[in-house]
Amino acid sequence: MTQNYNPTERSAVSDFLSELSVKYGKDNVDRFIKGDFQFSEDAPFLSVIMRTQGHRPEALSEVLLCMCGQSDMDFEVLIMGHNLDKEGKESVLSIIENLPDFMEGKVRLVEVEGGNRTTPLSRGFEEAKGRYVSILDDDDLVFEDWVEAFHAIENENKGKILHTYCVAQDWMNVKNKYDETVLVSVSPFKTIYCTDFELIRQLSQNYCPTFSLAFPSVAYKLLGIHFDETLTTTEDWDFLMRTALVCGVADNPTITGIYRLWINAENSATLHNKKEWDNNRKYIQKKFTSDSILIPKTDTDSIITKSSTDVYSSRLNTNEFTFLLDDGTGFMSHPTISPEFTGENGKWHARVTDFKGFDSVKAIRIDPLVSGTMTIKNFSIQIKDENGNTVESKLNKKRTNGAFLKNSICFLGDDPQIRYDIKSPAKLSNVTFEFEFFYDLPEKFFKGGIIRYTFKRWTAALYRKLRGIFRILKAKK
Amino acid sequence: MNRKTLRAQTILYHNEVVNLEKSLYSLYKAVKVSKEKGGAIEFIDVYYGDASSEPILSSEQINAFNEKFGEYLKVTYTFFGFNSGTSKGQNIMFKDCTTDYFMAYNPDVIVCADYFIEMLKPFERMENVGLVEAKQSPLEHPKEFDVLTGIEPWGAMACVIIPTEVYRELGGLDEDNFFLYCDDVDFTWRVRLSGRKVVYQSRAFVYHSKHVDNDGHVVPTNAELYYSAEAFLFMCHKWSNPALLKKLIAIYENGTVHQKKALAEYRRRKENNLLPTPLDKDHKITTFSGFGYSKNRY
Repeated sequence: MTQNYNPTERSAVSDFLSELSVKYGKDNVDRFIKGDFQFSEDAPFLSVIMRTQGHRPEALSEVLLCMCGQSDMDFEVLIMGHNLDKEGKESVLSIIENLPDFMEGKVRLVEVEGGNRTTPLSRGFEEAKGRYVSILDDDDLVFEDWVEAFHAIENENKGKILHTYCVAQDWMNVKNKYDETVLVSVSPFKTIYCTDFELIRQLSQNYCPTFSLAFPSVAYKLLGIHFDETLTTTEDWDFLMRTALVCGVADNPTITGIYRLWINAENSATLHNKKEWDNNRKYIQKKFTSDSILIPKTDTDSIITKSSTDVYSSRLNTNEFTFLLDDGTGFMSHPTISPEFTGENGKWHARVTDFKGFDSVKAIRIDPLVSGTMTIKNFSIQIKDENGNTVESKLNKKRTNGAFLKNSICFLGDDPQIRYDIKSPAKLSNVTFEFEFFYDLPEKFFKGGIIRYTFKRWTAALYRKLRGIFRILKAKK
Repeated sequence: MNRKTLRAQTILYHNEVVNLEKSLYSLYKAVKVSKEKGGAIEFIDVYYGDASSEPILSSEQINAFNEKFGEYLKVTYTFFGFNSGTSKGQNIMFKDCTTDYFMAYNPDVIVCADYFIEMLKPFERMENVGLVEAKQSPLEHPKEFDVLTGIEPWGAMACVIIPTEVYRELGGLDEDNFFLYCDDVDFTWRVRLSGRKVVYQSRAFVYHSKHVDNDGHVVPTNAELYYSAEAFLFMCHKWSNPALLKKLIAIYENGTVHQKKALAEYRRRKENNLLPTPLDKDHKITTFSGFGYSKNRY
């Protein structure tokens, strides 16, 4: 006789598998672990889901042209026409019909009526035939190796989410003299999304535009990890994390596309208020705490590092803090400098004393984090030259890309930057600065129309600049 | 609309045939769309000049292309037997061109469906347009342009349309001084010097493959590093900017291998009186800005 005793019944690994079974069904989890799922013979590697409402034909045509240029053609494109009106449908069908003939059979329109912005994604995942699925919006742009970069790491990472790098770039949607839509890039590339997937960091915020990811379709189809259609914002983050917590993520550090940030057009940041964003974030994060999490070994080291410092406990991640100098050749020509930090409870003091390689500094730039939705309050800076004298400097409000609200600088967009210009370029010996930091934006920021003002200012500045050039050219003739 | 004839001309150099075919597919569809929408282009001639060391296309492949795409385009292929570079290759091929328009393009670009319709609009809407440049995607060039009209200081010739008479009148690309790069800046400045406009048509987009490194910068080839360094010296000389030329020489003297080699070639030509006659001494046309050919939008 033996004891009726399971010696591992409540071990961490048993709990984890048991939680998965409760959530996704034991049979499904067993099948998932065994890889018991068949794809049809003609299934491509990648299904590309592209949402459109038919309102941006120029951008849709351009991203489909990017698909024509792919070096790896093992894909299908599902254009999810969401609530298309007659004109929108005709426009989308005409764009598909007019693609080069080698795209025939690769692109199809799937019409979706009703629901919210997640509904076409759910339908797309259901219709997808591919082993992997990626979401490419109708205003993104991808390089020729976008599909290839995912495909290259598939064999070694079957069942994982595949992740590549991408860059962000500011764009404007303007009208030309003939009232035609013209899309213009207005910033250099920002490399904020050129980083490996870090599970722990991702629990706070999403650093992965959807097209930088390819999801194993088996997670959707077998485990039933679906989009949460109750969410009005960040539904992609929620879906990514729920899938990542089960499947894991593999990185390919190749830049595969451009995430376009429309600075003068309506987007999700302007359509929803702060309370809505906060509520959705809390709701999503609550889901993270309801289950056990498998931590990849690649994340363990950064957890140890961060949890060992006061810096992390009081929330500012100084690893992301960047201090740059311009000696006349540009900010990006030199390696960044790491300031020494002290501080807690949101109040910070930082110091830089090493200026090797910089004989004459013209400007200083401070990038507090890589992502936005944050406030810097009561910022002050003291700059000393090699003789210990204070150097005269001025905050460059045009190049500081936040909105100014009394004694605060509010950053909504990613890649926040504070820039100080030095009146007489000098060799520096010491720079100290103090500030208070909040992962938040004041309510006044949203209520006071500051977002609209900021966009308007950008638009007006660009227009004035272009008009000036036009006049110069005209005068030259 | 009055029908117009057009020759699309490109120089091959060890390209992959699959990419040439993709490009032909896109041109075929763009001509078809133009014809269906009543545009001026209903048929085009495609001229390939092959500067590779061995022919990359056989007569069977050319016949197959003409059979497949013959309704809207005709492909003609010439193997040079030497590396002509783009400027000389384009000029050689152009000699017998009699069409209304001449299109110079990179052989692997994929054009959008409305390409011909959009590219011809500036010629119809404005007086004195000497060249129209298509927008390259996904990497858009950062040079400044007038958003309202599209007028720009110079044009990149990855994909452009030029009235044939303009190319002929200006003597084509400067093959003596620009083997591979900056032949386009030089040519478009000469277009402007002749009193004509250079226009950027951002609604006519073409896919042009480029790679960026992990810092988000475009990855240049070794050929680009050398020939662009060399061309910059010649541009400064030809377009009367001795101050910038002096700065460049100082940099190149202690510069990279490519820059030193470019400087040696410049000095060789100077000693042998092989440099071109300077133009635009009053600086009415040139738009040098820092170490670039014009100001950029960012």
